[in-house]
Amino acid sequence: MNQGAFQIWGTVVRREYVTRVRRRAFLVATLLGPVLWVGLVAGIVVLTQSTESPAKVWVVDHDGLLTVPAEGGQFVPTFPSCYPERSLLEYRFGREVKEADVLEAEGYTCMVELDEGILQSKKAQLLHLEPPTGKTKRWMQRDLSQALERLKVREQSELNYEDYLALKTDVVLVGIDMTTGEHKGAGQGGLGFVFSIFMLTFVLVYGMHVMRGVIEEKSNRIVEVVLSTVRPGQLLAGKIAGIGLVGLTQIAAWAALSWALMLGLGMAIEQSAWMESWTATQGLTAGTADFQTVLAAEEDLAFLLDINWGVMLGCGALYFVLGYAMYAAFFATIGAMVEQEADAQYLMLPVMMPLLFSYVLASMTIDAPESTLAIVSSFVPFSSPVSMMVRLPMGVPWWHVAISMALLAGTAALLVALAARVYRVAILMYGKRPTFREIVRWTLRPDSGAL
Amino acid sequence: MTTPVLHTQGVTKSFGDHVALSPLDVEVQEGRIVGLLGPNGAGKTTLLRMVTGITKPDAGELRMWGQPHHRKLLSRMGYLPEERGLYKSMRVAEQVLYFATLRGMARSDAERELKGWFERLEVEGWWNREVADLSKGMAQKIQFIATVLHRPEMLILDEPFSGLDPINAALVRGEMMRLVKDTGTTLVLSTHDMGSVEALCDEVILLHQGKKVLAGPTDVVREDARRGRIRLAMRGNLMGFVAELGARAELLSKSTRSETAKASDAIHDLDIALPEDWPMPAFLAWAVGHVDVLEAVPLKLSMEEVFVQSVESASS
Repeated sequence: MNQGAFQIWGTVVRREYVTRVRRRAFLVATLLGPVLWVGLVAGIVVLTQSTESPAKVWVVDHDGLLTVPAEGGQFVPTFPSCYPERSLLEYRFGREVKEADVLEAEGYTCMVELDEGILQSKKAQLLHLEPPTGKTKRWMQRDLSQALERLKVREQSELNYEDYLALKTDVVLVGIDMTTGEHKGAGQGGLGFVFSIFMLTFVLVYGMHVMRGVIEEKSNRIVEVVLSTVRPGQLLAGKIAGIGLVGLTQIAAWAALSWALMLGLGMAIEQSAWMESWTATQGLTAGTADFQTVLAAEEDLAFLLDINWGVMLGCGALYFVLGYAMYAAFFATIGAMVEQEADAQYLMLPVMMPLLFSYVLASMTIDAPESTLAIVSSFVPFSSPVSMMVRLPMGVPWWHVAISMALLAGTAALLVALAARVYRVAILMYGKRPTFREIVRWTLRPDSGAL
Repeated sequence: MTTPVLHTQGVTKSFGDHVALSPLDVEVQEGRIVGLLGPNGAGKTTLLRMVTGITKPDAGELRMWGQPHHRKLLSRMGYLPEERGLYKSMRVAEQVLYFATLRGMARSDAERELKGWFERLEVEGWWNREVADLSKGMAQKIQFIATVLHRPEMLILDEPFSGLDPINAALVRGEMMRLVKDTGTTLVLSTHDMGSVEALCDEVILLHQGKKVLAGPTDVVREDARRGRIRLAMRGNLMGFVAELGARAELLSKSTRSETAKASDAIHDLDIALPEDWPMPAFLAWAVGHVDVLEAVPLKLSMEEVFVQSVESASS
């Protein structure tokens, strides 16, 4: 009837895994997670568009820079092509300031005042009844800048505007890694940040699962029965592995579902009427463009096609396993020290600090993925699972990843071993919380204490 | 004498400055029901945790089935601790099977065995129920099944009847007796319920402040502890007899069986504690000279009295 330590450990892992993955909450979160994410993003987009009210702007051109008189005492723009027709933005021009109540009565939302000073200061005053959205404001700035540019070209040079545009040069810096040849841009940084948030959430959520599991066994007094068969270290390792597998299952399910959703979305777009009109506007032959063509043509989304998703997900899963194991060691120690979850609250703060700190670092390094801060924090084991996620989409030398993972794996193994030493004693202590000195003493004693 | 199932020699255990067990020698023979007794903090749980491999002795030798204690021997035991619980997120049968497989039992074997136990303990309908739905008594029965399912050769039960109503307590007690009788299981029972000890235990071991203060067969222990106590049934002049007795021995209690027409025909029962220098035969010779002695039996102490007397005497 005797069995090996590995079999016992496997039995513990199986229990931890099976009892969690079949919970309704897990199934709902796993199946609905990606749907909710996609729904949330789509919802935000729809909501943003539906809440955008049109802006009607009264442009007061005091010195007649951008307008000319028209019939009936009206004024029209000198360069009408600078003000394209938009459903959300409408201009009217004049020379007189209107009072707020007049503007309101006439349906204006704001008024722009400009005079000759703008040629030097490049500033105009925007007075609003309703503040324009960021997008509307950017449109207004672009339209007025273009009109003034045309005016300056006409007044101050002998070029016509088309020649000027041909001469005008705006430099865009496209980052390419010299070793990997990969493009780097803001999109990758944003994606990395999203991955780092997922990493932080998963490590925290599953680390807390370990803590709750330990507290349940201690407060329900099951642990004494279990420990009469299983070594404390085996029980802890089984718990960490089983719950970690639950996390990996969820990651894999989310990845697969997201992939399926993206494919579905792509197919829906390819077959929609929108696709036909888009193909036509792009000057492409009907039926030759697919979802990837759309992505590639979109400035903000094209980078998604350059991402090595296999590497991202593979590294993400590995960083999760190691980072989770390291933090689970802390959470398990806390769980063994207390008898109910409420007592664990203030002990959790110091454990969560490095994780939250690495999140702050991640947000700071989106725009500077090659900064010293970003690189150092992607090597330090306490922050590397989160910080490296920001760097990965930009392309990271393989040896950076290797060193970072090796450091993380070593630290995780050490901390799990030390946590097991504290766990084996603390888990059987009732009515008294161990002191810091006791904890240090237990970590220094290699003997397991059990038979 | 066969090899004892459990044998400790000079076993000690301390926690910081607190000595939980002083050098302790105990022995438990196969197929016996042994009561491990002692007030709170006597060291019972510490001893049981060593036997069940949860902790190790600081010093001394602990042998099981004639071998130095080893983890491989743990699957031959079943342990029901006093403070016990179940996983709330698991179903009843699944939970019992988990413990059985942890102890090395094949799942199919465990399932077959479990069906029999569910029938015997009258919990057939609970196979797939949530643990959270169990009453305390029901949970106790499930915990008992989880302890015995893997057919352990030695059962260690810490307060096995707490939380059980008299009917279920009798049911569990019956199963314990059946295991001992049919399979030769050795049973170590740690309890404060002295009624159970009297009813079940062949032997007792009494610990106090980490030391063994009493050990031996239950009858012998109760006999040894009686210290000259005797129950006497008599007829005759009660007042005069008691007055003369009072000068030499202690009258513990007296009662009269039934009212009769003549006071001298009434039968009286007296519990008497004789001093050490007045043995029972000499006392009886003296008594028959004074009254009509109908019956005289040595008076056994209850286990509760033995417990209190031993602990008080050890404390003083």
